[in-house]
Amino acid sequence: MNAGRYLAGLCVSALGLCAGGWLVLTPFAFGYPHRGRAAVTGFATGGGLALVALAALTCWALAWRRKLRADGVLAARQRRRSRRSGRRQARAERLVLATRTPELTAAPDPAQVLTDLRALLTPLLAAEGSALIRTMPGPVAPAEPAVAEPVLTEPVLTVPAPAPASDGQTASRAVQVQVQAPGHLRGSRSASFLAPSPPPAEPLLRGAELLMVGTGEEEAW
Amino acid sequence: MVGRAGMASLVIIFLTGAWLIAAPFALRFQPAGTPWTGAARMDVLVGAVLAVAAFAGFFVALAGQVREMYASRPE
Repeated sequence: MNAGRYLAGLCVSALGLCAGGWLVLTPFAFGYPHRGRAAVTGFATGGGLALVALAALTCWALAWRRKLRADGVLAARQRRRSRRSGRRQARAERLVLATRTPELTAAPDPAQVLTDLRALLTPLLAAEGSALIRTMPGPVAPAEPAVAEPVLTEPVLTVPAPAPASDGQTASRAVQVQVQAPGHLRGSRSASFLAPSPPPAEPLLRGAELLMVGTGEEEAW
Repeated sequence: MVGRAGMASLVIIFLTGAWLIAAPFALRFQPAGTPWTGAARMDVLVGAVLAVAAFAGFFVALAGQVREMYASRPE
């Protein structure tokens, strides 16, 4: 670090301060004529010089301290605002820890969450008349003309409905429940990029399970 | 900003020293051709010391600033 620059400024400023004081005191010390030109010049010049030298002293001291802080010699000054923001930050962290601890201790098992989710979704998928759930004939149903089937292009999730009976005739006419995925657009035009056959829900649920196990959080949902 | 104010104050101190040297003759409390009075002698002496010190200090500070600029220039 180049301290000579600041030392030179400080020394010259201190010399100027001393010279200003001396010029103010000279008329009294040497008995100059009262209100004479020499006395007025000494007072005015000495007073102004003392003020300028004081300002210069302050400037050089501040500049040197700033340089020392920038070089890491002096510790960084902590301002009132940063102190206040530090207290606010500590309070927010305490609040976050206090609210997060019960969640961590009572974190549910992802497998248990998935089981509960299955139990919750299965009756919903089986229910009829819902806005999100529609039924359609299964793959064994007679095929309709492909031109008049705009419903197949909609993004839907297909899960097999619970088998109502065990006899072969009824099982052959088992229906599939199609659930429209939330956020997907209706209509063949906006969903035209999707595959014509809707994906089954079981792989999706397995994928969701993998996602949850991978992230370790229920926030994946 | 502070460094510039410090440099400007050094210039002002130098000008004050120069003014102190010239003041006895400019304000005519030192008549020409007569022995110097105590006030004139004191003003010239203080002014000369101030001017020399401020002159040297200004260039020392300027040299230090230039050295810092060389030290902090990108490679």
